[in-house]
Amino acid sequence: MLRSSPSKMPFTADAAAHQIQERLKNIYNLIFEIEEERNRSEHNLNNITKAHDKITPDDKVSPYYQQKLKSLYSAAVSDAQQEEELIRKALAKINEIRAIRNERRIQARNAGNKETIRRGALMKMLLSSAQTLPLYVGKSPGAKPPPLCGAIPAEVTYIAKMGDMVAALVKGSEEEENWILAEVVQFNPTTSKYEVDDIDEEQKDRHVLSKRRVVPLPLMRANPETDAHALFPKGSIVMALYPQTTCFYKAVVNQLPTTATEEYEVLFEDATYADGYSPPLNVAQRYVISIKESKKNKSQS
Amino acid sequence: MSGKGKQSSKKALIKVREGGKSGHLSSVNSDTSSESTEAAVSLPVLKTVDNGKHLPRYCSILQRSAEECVGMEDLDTLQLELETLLSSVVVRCRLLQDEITNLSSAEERRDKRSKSVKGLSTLDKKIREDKSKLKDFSSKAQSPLPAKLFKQKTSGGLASQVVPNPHELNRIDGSKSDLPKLLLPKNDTPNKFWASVDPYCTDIMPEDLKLLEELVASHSDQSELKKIPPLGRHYSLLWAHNDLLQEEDAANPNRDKKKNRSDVSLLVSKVDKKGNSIAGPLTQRLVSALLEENVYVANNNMDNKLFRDGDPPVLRDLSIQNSMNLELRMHKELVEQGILEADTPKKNQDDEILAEIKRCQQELSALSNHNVTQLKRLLQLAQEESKRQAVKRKISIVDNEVVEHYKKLILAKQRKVSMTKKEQEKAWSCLRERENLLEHLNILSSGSDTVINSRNNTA
Repeated sequence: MLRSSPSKMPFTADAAAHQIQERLKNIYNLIFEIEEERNRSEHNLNNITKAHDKITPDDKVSPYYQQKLKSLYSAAVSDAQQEEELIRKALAKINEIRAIRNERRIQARNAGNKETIRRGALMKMLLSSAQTLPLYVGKSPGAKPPPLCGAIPAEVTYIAKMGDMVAALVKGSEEEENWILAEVVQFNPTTSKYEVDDIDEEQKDRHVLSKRRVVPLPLMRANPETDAHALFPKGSIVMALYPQTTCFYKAVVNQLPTTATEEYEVLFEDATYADGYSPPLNVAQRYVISIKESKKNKSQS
Repeated sequence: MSGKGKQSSKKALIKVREGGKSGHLSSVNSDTSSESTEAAVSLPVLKTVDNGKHLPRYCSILQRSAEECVGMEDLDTLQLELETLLSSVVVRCRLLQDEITNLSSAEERRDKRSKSVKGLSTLDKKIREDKSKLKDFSSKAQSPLPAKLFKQKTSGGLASQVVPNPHELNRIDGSKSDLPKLLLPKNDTPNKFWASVDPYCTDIMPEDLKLLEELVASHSDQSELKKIPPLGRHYSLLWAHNDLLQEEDAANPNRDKKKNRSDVSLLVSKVDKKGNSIAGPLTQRLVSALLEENVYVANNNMDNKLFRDGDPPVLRDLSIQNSMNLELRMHKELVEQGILEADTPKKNQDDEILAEIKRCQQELSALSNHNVTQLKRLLQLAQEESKRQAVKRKISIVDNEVVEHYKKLILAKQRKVSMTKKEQEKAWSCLRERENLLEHLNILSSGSDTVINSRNNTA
């Protein structure tokens, strides 16, 4: 929803800069509002602490105190909800800025001035884009996470947008096939085929691939603290980006992230190791996807 | 890239330790094992005081002027910090909401319980008292989260005291694990157990004995069970009617059904009119056996005369008012003819339903007898037990006296004053009485044992 909004805007460099500036100001103001709200919350939370301290000595919660605690908790909940809303707003603004910049980048690329990045810088970019992928925090405990959040796959009809990162199954030089990290250039609805660029600039290849050879990467991280159900369970077979490469390989999830900033710990299938698996390696949520192996094999044959 | 997330969390953990705010940063402090469990029970609150520590970029932006505003270079870090904040606030919100539902459900349960307590009989006063005690315990136990929160709060409070050196801190960290034990809600399982067992262990009251006696009396009377109601109209008339219909259909398959039915009902109503009472089973059987002929006769006779002049006297008796008389005569006649044997009538009289009723009655009376014997046994045991209890009560009174005397003795010894003769005698008599009572109790209980044994043997 946020990604689509910038498309309506004009994209001269000045206009983009202006819009970004506006949002930065918004963020600045929101941060002060958040702080104010947090101070308010803290006041109530302190009251709760006090109430707890009063109750603790005789180790018994009388109905009166239960009532009191309940009202205190309710107040704290409404505080927390206000705070939550403001933080969400600020994060939304940050996302908007990122979207605007992404549009600008795509525009520039389409105009022909493609910036070349060194491999080291590319790796850094991949990492930071994974880290700053928006975080999904469900509004309620049972909320159904949207598609392309964490382990939730895209809907069947979903078409990845221009500039989106995808995993693409491409033929290599010696008839071997690899899932590579790529960026969508465009989707042709008549042929139902994607045009994708290898993310690795050195390859300079453009691939035209059918839809089933393109798997969009998650657009949001799942928050393990609130939405652990949107993560791959331990032991599931996934495709994960091998660290310091731009290729996806089969791996087993060994450990789940426990915080929003942590990564999956996976074991790659690797015949060069005695037990057939690599030692545990960390891969960001964005680069861990599920691929239906059987279907892929059928399509290959 | 590998392990970066881990490292950052570990770093944060150390930070937390330094600040001694372990309870407040669960979002970062959730590495593994002990740390994570600790974090799980805490309310994640990122204190504004610690802004600089956990949210450096956020904090620095707060101190900027409006002109400086927020720069592009801030975004990545700021996003992560805001996400940390968001996660913590959402987790806190959910915990609190859980807590609220916990409290409400505890309240509901308490309401329910107090209602059920009201419903109890006066006999269970004691249990009621126990329950009301229990209620408090359980309502406490039913809301485990407050305990968690207390735990967190207190441990946080302790840890946030200024700690001069890391060794000191470790010590406090270690002691933290002991703290929660004190704050755990009291384990009320023993109380619940004893409350549930209480009714089985209390003394047998005279009311209980009375209740048992009443039960024995009410169950001993079996006359009510033995009553067999006379055949109802449904079985005596309707069945006879149906039998007639069936027989007739079988005998004259070609006949017009309508006419057929009217004939039969006519016949039955005639019998009804004449007898004004129900014909006996033997009569009915005979009538249905002879029906084919009868109907044929009835059909031929335009004046609806049931019997021809040449019919044997038995058939003429069908018109006799007293059907029981007819029944007896019929039986006699049949025996004479050699169709029935002399001892069969009883069997004949017992129809299916009667047999079933009798069978049920037998079962019922057996069961009832068993119940009565059990009740009687229970009553006897209860009576013996109440005797023993009376003795026990006496013993406990004497026990108290003995203890008092003992105390007096000790006191006297302490003061180095010898007891008076009277007092000594009293003490002795108390002791002797106690011994007597104990012996009595022994005899009683051994006597009841033999009773039980003999009963078991007979059983």
